[in-house]
Amino acid sequence: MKVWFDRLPLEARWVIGAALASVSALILAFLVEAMTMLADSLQERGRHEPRIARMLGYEATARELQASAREFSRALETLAYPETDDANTAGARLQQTLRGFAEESGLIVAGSQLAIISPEDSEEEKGADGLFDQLAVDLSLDGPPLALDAFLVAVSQHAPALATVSIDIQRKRRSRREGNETLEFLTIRLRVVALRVAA
Amino acid sequence: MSDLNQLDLFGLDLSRLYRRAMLGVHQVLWGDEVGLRAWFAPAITYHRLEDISETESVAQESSGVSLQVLLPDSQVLGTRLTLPASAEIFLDEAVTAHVQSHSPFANEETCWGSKIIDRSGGSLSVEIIIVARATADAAASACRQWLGSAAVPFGLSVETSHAYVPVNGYQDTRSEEPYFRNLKRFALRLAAGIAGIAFISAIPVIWSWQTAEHYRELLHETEQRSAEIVKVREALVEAQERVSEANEFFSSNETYRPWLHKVAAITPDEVYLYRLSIKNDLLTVSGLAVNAADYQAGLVESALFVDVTAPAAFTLDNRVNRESFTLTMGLSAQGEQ
Repeated sequence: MKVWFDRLPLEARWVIGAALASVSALILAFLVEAMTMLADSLQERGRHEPRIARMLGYEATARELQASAREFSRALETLAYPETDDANTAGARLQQTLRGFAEESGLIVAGSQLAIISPEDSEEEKGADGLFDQLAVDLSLDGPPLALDAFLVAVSQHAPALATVSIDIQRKRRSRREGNETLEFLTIRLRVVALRVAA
Repeated sequence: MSDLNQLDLFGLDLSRLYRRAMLGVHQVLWGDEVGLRAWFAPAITYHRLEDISETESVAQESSGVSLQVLLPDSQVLGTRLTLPASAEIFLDEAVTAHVQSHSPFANEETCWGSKIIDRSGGSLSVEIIIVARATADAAASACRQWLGSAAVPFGLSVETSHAYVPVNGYQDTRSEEPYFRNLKRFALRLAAGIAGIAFISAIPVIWSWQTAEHYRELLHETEQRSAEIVKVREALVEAQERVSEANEFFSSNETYRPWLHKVAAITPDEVYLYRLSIKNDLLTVSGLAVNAADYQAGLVESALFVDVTAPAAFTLDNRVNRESFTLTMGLSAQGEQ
């Protein structure tokens, strides 16, 4: 074949070469297109198959999923304020609740302050970042140790859960004019944090 | 050379390229080297002019086959021309000029034919025959008379020592019809064959594409049907993540009440604490003790705390005759249990 081709006139070789190249290019283009379509369709099928299987699996376990979802929603309610509650409203309510706990326990509320820490702000702080707002209430309280104990019990039993992240207890120094100085009277500064589901 | 195609592209004269392309096509279709014509054209039968009157039945036998009638050598002038191979595109012009310069007849009384007989050594060797037009006309008339009513295409040729050279202007175009017909039939069969192979090779692709389409529809249907449960699952995953995160948050923050009780239990009656703080698992106590070092030792021995250290020296407070101390310590996991 090569000998035959080499013996051809130059122009005939050009024409035959061009014709063969054109046909080869067409065949190659067809093959490439066919392979691309084949690869695409196989890839698409490979992508869809597990998704379909997964959704069929969801359908098969719909009841269990719904039950689990309800269970976890209830669990979440015991840990954080819902997203539907406005952060400021929930914070104010928490502050009121803590003040109420303090007064019921026999503590005197000397001051309180609410701080709302959004997920972006709490990135540097440990835990709960990204998913929750932190409602932090700083409290200044005066009172006896037993009242503090009762207050901490009330805090630990609150739902949604509260965390005391810092506490500073000092013996209250009463002025001489007040008389009856006692070691059993404390000044307490503490920070209590609650979580709220972030949007 | 006067009828050059003036093809022009961006100032470039493409007429030579065009002529070379046309020459290439001509060589492929008609050249002996390619062999296409020898393969697809029916065989040509040659008859000598001086013999046709004696073979009356030839026309009937040759029905549908082209005939070439050979002129007698005595009525033909033969000559040869050598050209560079690259000049083949101007072959007609070169042959015409050669004939005009070598013909003993007037231009209008001259007819001729040419054939390339050798292409070796980068040059073309062209066999040229020159015939008086009157001779060619007489031969053509004799042929027509011989063939009579039979519609057999014929042409005039001259046999030289190397080849049969057709006489230009005395060839019946119908004689090429079987060649083109065969060529067309072959091209169609080839195209049909290629299309068939392409279709067969495309079957897996079509099948795969249809399967993918089926899966796409199935996915769409399943997505629509299970949209509700998918939402439930997404909510579940989100709730799980949040619960896990919240649990981690609350477990990382100590419950301080038990620690206050532990500190109270471990602190002897003669030790007075006037400050206690806990932050980030670090407990700091300040107070007065008869022997602060004993108190520190007691804290260490309790195993409830780790890294019990005194950031400042214990100092004796003369007013109450006790040592003033500040101690820091970490809350141990054992103590938490």
